Amino acid sequence: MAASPLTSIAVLGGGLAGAFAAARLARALPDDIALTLVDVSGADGQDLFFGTVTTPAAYNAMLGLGLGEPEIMPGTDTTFSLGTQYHWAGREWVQAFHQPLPVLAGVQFHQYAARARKPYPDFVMSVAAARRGAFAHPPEGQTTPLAELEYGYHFLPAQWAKLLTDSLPARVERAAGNVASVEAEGETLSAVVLEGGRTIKADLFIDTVGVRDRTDGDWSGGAVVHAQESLSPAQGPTGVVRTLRQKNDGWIATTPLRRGTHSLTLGSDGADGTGLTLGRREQAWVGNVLTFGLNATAASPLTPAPMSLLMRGADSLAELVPFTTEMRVEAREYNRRHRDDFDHALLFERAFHPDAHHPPRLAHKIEQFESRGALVQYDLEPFEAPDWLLLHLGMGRVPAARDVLADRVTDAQLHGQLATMRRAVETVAAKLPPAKVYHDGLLRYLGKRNG
Amino acid sequence: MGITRICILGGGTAGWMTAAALSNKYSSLGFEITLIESDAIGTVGVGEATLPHIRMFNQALGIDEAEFMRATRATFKLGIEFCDWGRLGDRYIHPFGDYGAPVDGIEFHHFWLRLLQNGHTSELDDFSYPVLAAEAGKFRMPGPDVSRIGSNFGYAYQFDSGRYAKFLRGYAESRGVTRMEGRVVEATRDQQSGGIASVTLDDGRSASADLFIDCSGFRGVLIEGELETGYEDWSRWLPCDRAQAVPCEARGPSLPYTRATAREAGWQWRIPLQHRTGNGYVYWSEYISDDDATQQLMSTLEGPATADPKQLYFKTGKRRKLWNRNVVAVGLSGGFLEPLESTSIYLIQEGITALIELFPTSADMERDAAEYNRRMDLGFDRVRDFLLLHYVATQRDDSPMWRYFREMELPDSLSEKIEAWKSRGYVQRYEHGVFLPPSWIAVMAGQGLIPQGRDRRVDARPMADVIQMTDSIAKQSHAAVASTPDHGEFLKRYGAVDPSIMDAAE
Repeated sequence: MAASPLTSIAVLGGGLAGAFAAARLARALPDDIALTLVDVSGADGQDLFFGTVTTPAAYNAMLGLGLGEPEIMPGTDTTFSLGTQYHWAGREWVQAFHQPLPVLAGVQFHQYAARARKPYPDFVMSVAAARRGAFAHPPEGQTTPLAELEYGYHFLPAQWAKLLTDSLPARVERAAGNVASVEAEGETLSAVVLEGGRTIKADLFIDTVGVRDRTDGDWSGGAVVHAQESLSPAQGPTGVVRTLRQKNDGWIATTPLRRGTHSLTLGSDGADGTGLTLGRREQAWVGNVLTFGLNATAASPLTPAPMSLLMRGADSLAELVPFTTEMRVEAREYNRRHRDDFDHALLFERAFHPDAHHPPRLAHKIEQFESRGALVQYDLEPFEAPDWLLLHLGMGRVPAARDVLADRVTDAQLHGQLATMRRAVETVAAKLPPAKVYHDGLLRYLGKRNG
Repeated sequence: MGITRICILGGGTAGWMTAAALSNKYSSLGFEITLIESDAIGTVGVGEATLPHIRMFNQALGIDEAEFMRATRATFKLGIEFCDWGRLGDRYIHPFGDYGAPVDGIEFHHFWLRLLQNGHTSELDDFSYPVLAAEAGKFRMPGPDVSRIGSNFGYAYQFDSGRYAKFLRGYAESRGVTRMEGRVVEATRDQQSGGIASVTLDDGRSASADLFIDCSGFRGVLIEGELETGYEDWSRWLPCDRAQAVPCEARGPSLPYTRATAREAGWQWRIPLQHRTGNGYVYWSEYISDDDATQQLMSTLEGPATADPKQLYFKTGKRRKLWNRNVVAVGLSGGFLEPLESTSIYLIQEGITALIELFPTSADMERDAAEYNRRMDLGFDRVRDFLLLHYVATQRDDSPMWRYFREMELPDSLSEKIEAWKSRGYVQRYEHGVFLPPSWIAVMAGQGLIPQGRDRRVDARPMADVIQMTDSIAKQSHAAVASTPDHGEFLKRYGAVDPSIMDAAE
């Protein structure tokens, strides 16, 4: 079949993944590509597995869709997130978002902290703020420790799905209904027929509902987890981190949202919970069907990985929208990125489990950290060196040796410098308002501004 | 027990770069650093071209740029001109810098592709200040705001590597590096670890150390001669196996770029220094004799040769482990890739940087070596693919060598990159490795691979906007070049010219 220009894309959505993909495409693509979003009922049934925390990357991702904080905050329960406080493996730590601390004389900061026997997290602004439950926006272009604060969001997938769907421009054609049948020839899907008879034709299908069956060998992973969620209308946001506690066969996470505390319980045993098979497809994109969202990459919401993978997937899609109906190259490249992103995110998740058989690339990371405090990073990992550093330390991994170059400064210089930095962080943290006070103030301000 | 005694074998560029960097870092900790070299190898001054990374190396050593340039008779380098690669008669410059700047998060070249694919004429070079400046023989420093057209570029140097080694020798010796004159004739192994305990020189003296850096060149005296580490042969992909190098008198103003001209059985370099021009012919001995190579090289010099051509033999590839036991191979002892993209000194520098980051803390170095080798292997692999790209992104089939490349089965990693570019102007990104997307774009577009498609997102803007935006960037680039001084003029003003050359010229 000869290739012809690609002129139409249909998103089989109905949940967060579909809404995110549709919003991204509607913003990015020229008008001569027709876009349809099909609201498939029940498609959001597993959306609680996106978890309740995003990384700081969500700020730009949402802003790029025209959804800044003035749009997001008032209409949803979204709050600011500095990360997650884990009670895990018999330990407790704040896994806070942060930029790398300064490299001094060619030596990474944590090496100096190790030499001085000071806990590295004491020097991280977002950890200090998280410990106090305090928050304020980092100022731009100023040299205060507050400028180093990095934050993501606590959110509810259903609310963000609605926000994204409501923001779609008129060019996106809408349809609704369950998928009754598909018309396909080989790997090419020509149409999806909805119950009620409406036929959706497109050159490319973004499928979040799984019309393409998962066959054996197309899915790597396999552990089934079950989850339940609830929202208790408590006194409103009291903290600025999600709190996650390990339980016998899983964990329970509580997230401070605007109108109350959300709790998510996840475990392998869940007679009455929602189930999900963790893992990823070998090929997310086959023929003209790109499987997207939890049907393609199902990472555990133990970490912010599910939202990271969704945002990265949307980046890959936007960059690789095919030029013609011949899309083999696009599919191959998308699949490469899909596999790398998921597998890298999985390394981070696996690093929470001390006794597991780690894959070689993770074993190498841990070995390098434990032997000398070296942070090994592979290409374009979703979790960056500062995330890995806090995780290693949180899990109680202690380097046996440190960089000898950290010994070049005198004890007096070292302790003086560290004390100054620590004081600066503490001074700023002490002045920050409680997260709830700050949040309420922001909403009042936005309310007034919007009349 | 800590690792405090370091012995460097070999005093070429690799050896003295290593000695300088290690002495800068470790002398104050009381480490003993020894460098063993036999009588100074004649410095033929054939010239060596570098990548912008070398500036970070020099800066870390606290080296004054003008002083370094005077000492090594260096010129500035904005990129490499490639002649006759895509087709006979073609030429392009691979610059150190981006084309345009991303718009709405979309790489600029997609906007250029939209123009081309809609029948407009547009030259990618018009969006690159370093290309335009190089063409005009001009140079100045990039400004502080790297997002500005005319400041979003990097630069490197073309210098006399023999003089660079000498310059760094002074630096290293003043920081406590002990130089031993002599040739290593024997190594003693540590019975327990199997590593090297000491080396013995031809005059009977010996040097013992905890860590040995093998900078002994192709022979790899310790890494291969003693440890028999093995060599990964890449000549299947990069079959050129010999070179001849010769300096000649310079003609015309010194240009701020290196030239690499494709030949029937290899390619020829031209590296302009302050006082002369370095030349070399890299070739595949299967398809040209040494004599014919000499003849071709000598007949294409721009001025009289100032020395006899020097013959070099090599095999492309890399050591199976660049760090084995307590020996780290830096430079040619670790591997060789032809200098088509000036990566020789870069790979030395990478080796030194990784060594410092992973400096062993005990005699058990296996873990340090594992990470070092992982990083360096990736670096070598990615350079290899990029070099091979030059030979296969071509329509040439006018000689057996070019036909060999035509029939070659490429590594998957490379064929996928080429296909993604040809179909939609897509360039794979990675975090680790030297050549960023603009370099791939320069070579692929420069050698005549013009994509069929583009990033669809660029079509969301009206065509008139795209024309206006691209015109404006081209105008800014040309305007920035117009106000840029001549390269030679800038060198003088910067105080970078060796006074003895200035005197000779006057």
